[in-house]
Amino acid sequence: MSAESATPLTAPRPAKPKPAIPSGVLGVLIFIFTEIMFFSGLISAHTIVKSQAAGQMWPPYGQPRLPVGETALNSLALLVSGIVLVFTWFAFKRDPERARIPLLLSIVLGSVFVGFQGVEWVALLSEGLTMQSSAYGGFFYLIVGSHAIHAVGALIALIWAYDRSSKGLLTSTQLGTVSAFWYFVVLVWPVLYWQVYL
Amino acid sequence: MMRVGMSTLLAFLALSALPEALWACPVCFDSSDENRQAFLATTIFLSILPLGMVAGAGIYIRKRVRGSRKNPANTK
Amino acid sequence: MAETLAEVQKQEVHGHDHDHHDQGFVSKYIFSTDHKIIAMQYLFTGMLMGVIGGYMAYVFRMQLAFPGISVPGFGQVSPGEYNSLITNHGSIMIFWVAMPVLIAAFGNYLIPLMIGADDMVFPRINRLSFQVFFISSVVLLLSLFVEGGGFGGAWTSYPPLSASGDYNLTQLGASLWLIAVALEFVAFLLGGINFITTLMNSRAPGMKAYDIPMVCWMIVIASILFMLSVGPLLAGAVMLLFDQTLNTGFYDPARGGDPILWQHLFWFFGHPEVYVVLLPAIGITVDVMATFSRKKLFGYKLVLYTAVATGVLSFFVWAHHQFIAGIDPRMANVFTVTTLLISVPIAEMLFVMIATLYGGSITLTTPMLWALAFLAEFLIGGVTGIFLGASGADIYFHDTYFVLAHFHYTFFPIAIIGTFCAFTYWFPKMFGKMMNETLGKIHFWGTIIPFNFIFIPLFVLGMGGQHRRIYNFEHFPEIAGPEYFQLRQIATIALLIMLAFQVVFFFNVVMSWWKGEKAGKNPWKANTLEWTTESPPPHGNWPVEELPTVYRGPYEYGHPDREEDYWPQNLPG
Ligand code: HEM
Ligand SMILES: [Cu+2]
Repeated sequence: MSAESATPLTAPRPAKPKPAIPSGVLGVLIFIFTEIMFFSGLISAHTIVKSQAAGQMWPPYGQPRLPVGETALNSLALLVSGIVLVFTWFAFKRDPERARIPLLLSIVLGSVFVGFQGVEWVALLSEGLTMQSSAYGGFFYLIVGSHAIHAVGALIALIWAYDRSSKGLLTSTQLGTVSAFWYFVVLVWPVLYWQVYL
Repeated sequence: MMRVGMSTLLAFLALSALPEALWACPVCFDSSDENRQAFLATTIFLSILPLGMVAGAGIYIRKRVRGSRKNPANTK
Repeated sequence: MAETLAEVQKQEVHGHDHDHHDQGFVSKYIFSTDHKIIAMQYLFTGMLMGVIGGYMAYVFRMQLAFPGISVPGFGQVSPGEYNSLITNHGSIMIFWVAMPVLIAAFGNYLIPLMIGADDMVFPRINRLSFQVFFISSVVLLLSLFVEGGGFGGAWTSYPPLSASGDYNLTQLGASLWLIAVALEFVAFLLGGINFITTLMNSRAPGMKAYDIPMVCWMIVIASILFMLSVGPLLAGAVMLLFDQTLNTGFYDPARGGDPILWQHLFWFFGHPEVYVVLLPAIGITVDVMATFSRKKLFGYKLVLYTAVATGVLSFFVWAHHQFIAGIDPRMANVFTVTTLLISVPIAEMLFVMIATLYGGSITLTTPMLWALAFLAEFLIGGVTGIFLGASGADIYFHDTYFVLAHFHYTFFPIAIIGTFCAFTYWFPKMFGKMMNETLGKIHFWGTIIPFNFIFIPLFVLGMGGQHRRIYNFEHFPEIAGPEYFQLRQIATIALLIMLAFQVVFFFNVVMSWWKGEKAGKNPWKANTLEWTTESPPPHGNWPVEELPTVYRGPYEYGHPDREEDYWPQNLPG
């Protein structure tokens, strides 16, 4: 639509009530609900298969143990990234310019998390844990991999938001939408960590 | 309303204790206790979760709508 | 044509391009973001898939009634082909006909018009939704022609049969089938987000929660149910796809997996899914009934709350599909109770329909006939569900033709009767022409009577213990008694008659569209907002100055203080 046709808005419409939640945020929220159910499905499946493991050996005999400690540290990076994003939001409310640095920091921390997970995978693969090696390996890669895909997607969205903010175009709805998704990625991780690693 | 809910719940519990006779059935006792509990836990988890989420969202939106309706009235 | 304020705002927020006036055919009809065009795309794709699904039913019913004959228009049916036809018939009718037509097509068409909005909130996501859906349809149809043939493991796709090409002999077909289903879900996720957000945020000024026409509520509640139940199935589908392609062992007991797991994940979605399609159909029929009995809908809030209660309960009943799959009998008991409980709200909605009709001045137009038929036929489906829900009875009934007849008595009223009801009711709005009533009634009776002759015999077959997944009953002499063959033949002949009568429908559509009588804005004298604009509505639905404001609920018929017996929602005073 061109700018000219937008200007002559003659007849004033009766005011519409302001939506309780902006459409963009509501849309993402509904999407996140679905995603939560998706991960719940994975976790439930995992719980059930785990409970059936032969002789209650989990991880099964001969399969490598997961790096519990290193991943805990790595999870910290992700959590901090989420907290930084909360600060980004408040900074943005005061002055959109000031939001750029914390946004960038959040992206960097998130990328560290994803990168380190990748390194971990390579190590585990070389130790003989694959999707086919056991149900244990299958669920590990399935659940952690699903999370990784979401993390990468959310990071791309954050980078897009950063790009818009450096052009001064970022709106608060956009930031809210993108952050909502990143919060989901951050908050679902501790649950997955608890279920898969511990 | 409360009473109906309570009696439904009680009926549930009473009925779930009924099929003692089926304890002879091989399928049910084939699997381990842990497995049975896992099924029960995930069943409850998966059923309650979506309802909880929607209820939460519903209550939040209701509050927001109520709040935004009140405010303009106050300023008038 | 002027753009509306809402669109201007939308454009600011989403930066979307809404200018498709004076553009070519392709951008106007293929890549449009207008909700009405997208609705038509869904409608016609869904109907086309419906014709394909009907053709499949014709082929396998012929094989069942006359085993081994060369079916005209197909040829000899091999066991593999038979399985593939059954599987894809079921998948198509549920996922590519009922869902796209009832929810996507009518949801897209009706929600913005009925709530006085100029379009959906996210028009481009809406377009994407259809594109993904279209791709999914193509993938599904392709899967029928790959090496090894289409997938034949039933629409429920239970592993281990579905998990490995070694068992089902359709390696590629099975994976393509699964991918098509997953894509279809993605399309409806995108659509669902749009429906829910639009109903929440774009209502006309003055339209409060209880002024929303029931059909909009129902489509949105159905979308919420869908969004909440589909996640676990998608998780299960990913696992199944990995089992098929990457040789993982999620469902393979020999490797620590669990095949029953899939049944849980599938039915956790599968049962809410039946209400996902049921609720929109109920919404359509109550709207039509209120209009043609010129009476206020009985108990608006009752219907709404009942629908919500149904939605809540629908998350607690799924294991009634697995009574004999080896689940814990104590769990089976709980699920029996919940299953019987859920028939209460369903029955309540049917009673509401009867109460709405009671004492009304009923006009038996074609849409009204369809609505009444929905009531009558769905009743049988719901009642037989109660037999199946009793876990004791189900040990005998499970996987017999009784189950098959039960769910056809539910799905047919929903997907076919509901669709015809909506289509004949809103046809004047969609195309600006009236449909021919005589042809409409011929088509109605030509569909309803044979329908009962198809499925009542199947109830009898099921009670006789006939298993529902048998290719050729002659291979099982113990259960192939001649009386059963006669029943099967009655069903098949009735199907042929019913299919033949569909020609009347398509003829009627084409003729009415081409030279039907002009409809005008409000041919049925109905109250809801879509009847206040032109037929068919222009781009943007109303001119900016005329975007409606709402003053009352949608069912104010026969108000004692008014001369006309209807009172449109947008009239002040
Ligand atoms: C009053 C409500 C209903 C009750 C109590 C009910 C109960 C049941 C039960 C217990 C079964 C399992 C039978 C078996 O496999 O042994 C079943 C199957 C089925 N029902 Fe219903 N049902 C109801 C409504 C519906 C509705 C509204 C639909 C469709 C929209 C529907 C569609 C189906 C389908 C598709 C199956 C068979 C699935 C399969 O095995 O392929 N039902 N129903
Ligand atoms: Cu069911």
